[in-house]
Amino acid sequence: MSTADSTRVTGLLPASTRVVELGETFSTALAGRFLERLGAHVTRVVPTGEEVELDTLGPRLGDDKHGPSAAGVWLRQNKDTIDLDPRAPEARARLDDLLDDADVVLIAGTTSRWSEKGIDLDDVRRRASGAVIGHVTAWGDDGTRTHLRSNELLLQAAGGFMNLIGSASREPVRLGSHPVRATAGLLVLDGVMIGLFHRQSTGQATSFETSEFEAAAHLEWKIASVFQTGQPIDRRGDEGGGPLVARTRDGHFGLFFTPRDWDGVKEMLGDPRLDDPRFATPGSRALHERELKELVEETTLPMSKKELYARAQARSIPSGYVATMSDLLDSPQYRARDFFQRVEVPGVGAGEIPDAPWAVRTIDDLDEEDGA
Amino acid sequence: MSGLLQGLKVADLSIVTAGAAATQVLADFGADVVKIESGNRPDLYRLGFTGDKGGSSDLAFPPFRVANRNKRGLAVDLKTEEGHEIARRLISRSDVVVENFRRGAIERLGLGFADLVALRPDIVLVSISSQGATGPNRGFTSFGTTLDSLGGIQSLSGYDADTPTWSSGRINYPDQTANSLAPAVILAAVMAARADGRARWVDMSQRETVTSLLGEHILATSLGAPNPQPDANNAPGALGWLSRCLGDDQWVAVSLETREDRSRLHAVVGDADAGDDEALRRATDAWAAGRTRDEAAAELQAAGLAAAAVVSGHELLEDPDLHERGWWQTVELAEGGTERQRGPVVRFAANDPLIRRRAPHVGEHTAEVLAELEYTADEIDALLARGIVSAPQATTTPN
Repeated sequence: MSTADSTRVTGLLPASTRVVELGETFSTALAGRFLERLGAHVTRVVPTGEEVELDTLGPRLGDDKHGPSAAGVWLRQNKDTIDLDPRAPEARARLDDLLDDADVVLIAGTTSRWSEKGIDLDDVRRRASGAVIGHVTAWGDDGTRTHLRSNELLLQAAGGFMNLIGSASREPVRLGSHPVRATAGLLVLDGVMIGLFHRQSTGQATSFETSEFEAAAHLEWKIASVFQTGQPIDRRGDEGGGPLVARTRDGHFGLFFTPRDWDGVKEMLGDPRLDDPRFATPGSRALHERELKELVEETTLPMSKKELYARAQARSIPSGYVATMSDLLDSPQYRARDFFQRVEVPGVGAGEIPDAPWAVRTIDDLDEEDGA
Repeated sequence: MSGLLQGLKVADLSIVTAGAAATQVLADFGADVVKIESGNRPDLYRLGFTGDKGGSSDLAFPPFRVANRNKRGLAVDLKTEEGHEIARRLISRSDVVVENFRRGAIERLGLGFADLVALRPDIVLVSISSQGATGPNRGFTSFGTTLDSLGGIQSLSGYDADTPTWSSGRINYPDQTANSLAPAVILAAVMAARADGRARWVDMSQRETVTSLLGEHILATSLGAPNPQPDANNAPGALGWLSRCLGDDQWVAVSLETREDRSRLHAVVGDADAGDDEALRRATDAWAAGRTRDEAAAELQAAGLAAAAVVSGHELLEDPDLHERGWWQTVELAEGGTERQRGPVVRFAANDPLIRRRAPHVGEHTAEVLAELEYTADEIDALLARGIVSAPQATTTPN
């Protein structure tokens, strides 16, 4: 087990909570990661010799192009790992013991794939009859896509997600990292907690299924909703009210604002040419966006993005800079909130990963803060 | 009320989607969620935002109807003493209060954590905010979408390093991450409070939520790797692009991860050196230009390639797999007729009906909720008459 240090209080589950990850995808690994941050003991069970997807994802750590996958190191922190051959009787007995004791079992991959590896998922469900069982696949355990390959780009494409992202004059463009599969992991976490709540209330275990494809549909839920009213469907880049992303001397600044903030934006930028009637209304600003951006950048290019952020926030304008990973690691806000965990990566060095994005306090904590 | 979360009572002060779509998940699974609004200043999401298609009715905006289904509506003026007493009574009978106001607002309403604990010693308060309840930027203002920028994902997204790209106002990815994570955290906190009788305050930062899902890049950069840049539709270790197909704005997504993938694609599109990625891409573009999006995706998939048609969200209404799984939910509209809304976050074996009621009008259940809080019919009428609470015209006091 690799161990991440942290000072933030995130635990809410009893330390006796046992989670078994049977197989691994980005989404189940993320759900397991947050279960660990909630206080559970998480054990990964990986069939011997199986190529695990997380190990194939970039970026890789260290100078070696075959170094460890950063996603693997991050999402496996504080978890136990057991490699076992499901067809070997001793290994199978060990798996059965884990399932007997499990409160939560997360199964990654289709029933047919597990059958090929010698594991009948119905047997798993019978064995872990007291546990909340979540079964997660890429496209669904059955259906027209079950046999298809999957990755983040394809999920963003097929789930209606990326069609809205990018410029009207260019192709849709994906969001970076793994937002659909990460969201699938969060929804799996919801399913686990719904199941645990039900078990706490009634003593009854339950099970659920989902797919990363359904998570994509869950994420982009508004177009279908508006479409049924007969209103025009949004096109990529035509929504208005979007940020004007301006260059600064050290990166980019996202100028988000409402129509009522426009006077504050002009004051913040301090350029009287912004009073031009071409920029007076949201519609005219959209029509003259290129000229507006050129004008705005005359002010922003010599400035730092954080200087602009301070100016905007001083006027309660809801704008923000485009934060790089370095910006986030240096963020005073994140540092003040102990958001990062320190991890040791063997052969590479000491690095940091984000902790869970919640902090738990009790009334005693509040009293201590008041007394401090 | 039935469902897996039967017995869970939620006093819901949350608005828009970061909070309201989180409590929607709880309501979907049987929690009793009372949406508390001011009659004069209800949830601003009822009428949509800039670029959205709201209307004059408080239920005219379709996404509002989704994020607030299965809830009951209570309209009360919390700035009056009597309105405050109604909130206190409701909260004293609730497991959890959920809010996503600007920092400091809940305390100014006299409903901060310490106030709530005085009402109920095992209460849970879940505060979903832009940057959290502590730290030097806790009072900073943002839209959900501003957090595309501040949370880091915009720095990874776009056509190239000069075009950092947001998730769009319609998707608003930061709000979706918050409302996807919050139900789990709410439930974990309620279980903990029920187990030991101690109150919990869960301070959840939307900005942190976005960053918390970028751990691979945070780790790599912390170990000395350069900041990652937008790289169009590629991913680390995988070449990806979209090829334009027949029709208006129609695309097929292609992803190549191995040498074998390149050979397979070469066999399909021909006319290129399988070892030259740029030539393969050009050949694929030419090949796809003569096919429909769905034809192109099917041919590439049949060859064992990682490919998919790029669809719009509205096309998922006819998706065969979502239909087969009963994912879409049919919901009655207030003015008659029905619409389909997104399905559950996950599908449970216990097949309780997901939709029990449509989203409420402002204060639609005011009288019903007040009666449960042991206000008499005369008291309710007096509160309505004095504007302490409000309800739609047709609502009558229950006997």
